[in-house]
Amino acid sequence: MPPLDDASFEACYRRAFPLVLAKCRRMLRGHADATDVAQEVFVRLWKHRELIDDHPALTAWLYRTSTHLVIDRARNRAFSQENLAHLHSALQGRAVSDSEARFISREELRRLLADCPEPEVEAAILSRVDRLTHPEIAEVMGVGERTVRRLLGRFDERTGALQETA
Amino acid sequence: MTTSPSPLSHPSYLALDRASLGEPSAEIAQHMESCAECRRHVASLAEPPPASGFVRVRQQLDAQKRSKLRVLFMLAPVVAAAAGVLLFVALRPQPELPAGQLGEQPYVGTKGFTSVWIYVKHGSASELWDGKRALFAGDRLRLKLDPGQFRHVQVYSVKGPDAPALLFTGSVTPGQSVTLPDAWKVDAEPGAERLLVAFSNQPLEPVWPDWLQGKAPPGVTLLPFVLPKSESPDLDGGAGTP
Repeated sequence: MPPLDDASFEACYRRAFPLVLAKCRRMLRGHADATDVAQEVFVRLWKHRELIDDHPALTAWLYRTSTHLVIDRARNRAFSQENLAHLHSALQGRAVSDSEARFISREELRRLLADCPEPEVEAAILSRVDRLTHPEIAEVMGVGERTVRRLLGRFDERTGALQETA
Repeated sequence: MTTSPSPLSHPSYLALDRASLGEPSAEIAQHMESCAECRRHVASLAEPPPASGFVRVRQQLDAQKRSKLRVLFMLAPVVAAAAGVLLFVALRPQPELPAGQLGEQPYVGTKGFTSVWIYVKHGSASELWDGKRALFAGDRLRLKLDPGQFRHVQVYSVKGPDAPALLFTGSVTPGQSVTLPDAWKVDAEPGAERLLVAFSNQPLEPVWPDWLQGKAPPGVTLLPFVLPKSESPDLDGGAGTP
């Protein structure tokens, strides 16, 4: 894959934007927030185009960057309450049905994000929301598989502890 | 959770997304034949996004460029004042020196600012090297250079005083940053990776005893880099580990 230039960047956007948007919508239910994050991913892609030299690197970078952006914005509460509740329920693998459950869910997410280092949340999103295998998570995050297992194990410990205190 | 096979035996979304971009493995293709859900996902990715989205991305990039320029314009008076002070210091009358101390050494200045960015690719994840992070065997290195006013660049891998290897030599355009076309794989040999980047105006014959001590001939800038190497990515957790 040749380095991205003005012409190939637009072609890359046309082909890859739908998959980034789909990934953002798995993390966030709302279309507006998901579109906003997906576009920011491409703004960053242009700035870091030197990092991309093949298609696997492109998809790995898009997954990693969109996950980071969602975690950052969720920490800063830049999303609607419904989207935060959706992200938490997607991480926990359970649906939230009513407004009370949504309230509890987003409060749990707030505590989780305050307590949990970003790589643990990143690995959990890639595993639970995007169904990536451990080798795929290791590839996207640029770490070893043992590290992935450790990150996911710690994430589960933290969520378990938070649920106990709740 | 200790293992994570894809739930419900579906491939991961990453594998499906890669298949939609034209990299379907036989396994994925076989799964999609019998799975309507995965077929639907891949089909949904074929719809092109509205053109207005790309226009917005471009607008954001332009807006960020303009705001950078605004900051530069705001800093211009400060830079001009600093330049004035430097000029005054340089041109103020000097006390007379004893004969023989002036004019013996020709002044050779560096032309412009030279910069080197080192990108490290580990697996599929690429990152700008932070000056500290250890490399692993199999990582790939790629260099981006700003040659300042120089016209030629040579890149060497220096394993030891007897074994410098030329990795790249070629012309560059002054004032234009360039990403070198080649990427280099980190080997499994013990010891740090040592790179030496030489900026000049024409191809050079290295004088290794001097170059390894950082002594550059007039009109040449040498930038050495020592990149530490680690044996296993899991020993320190790799990138992004708390």
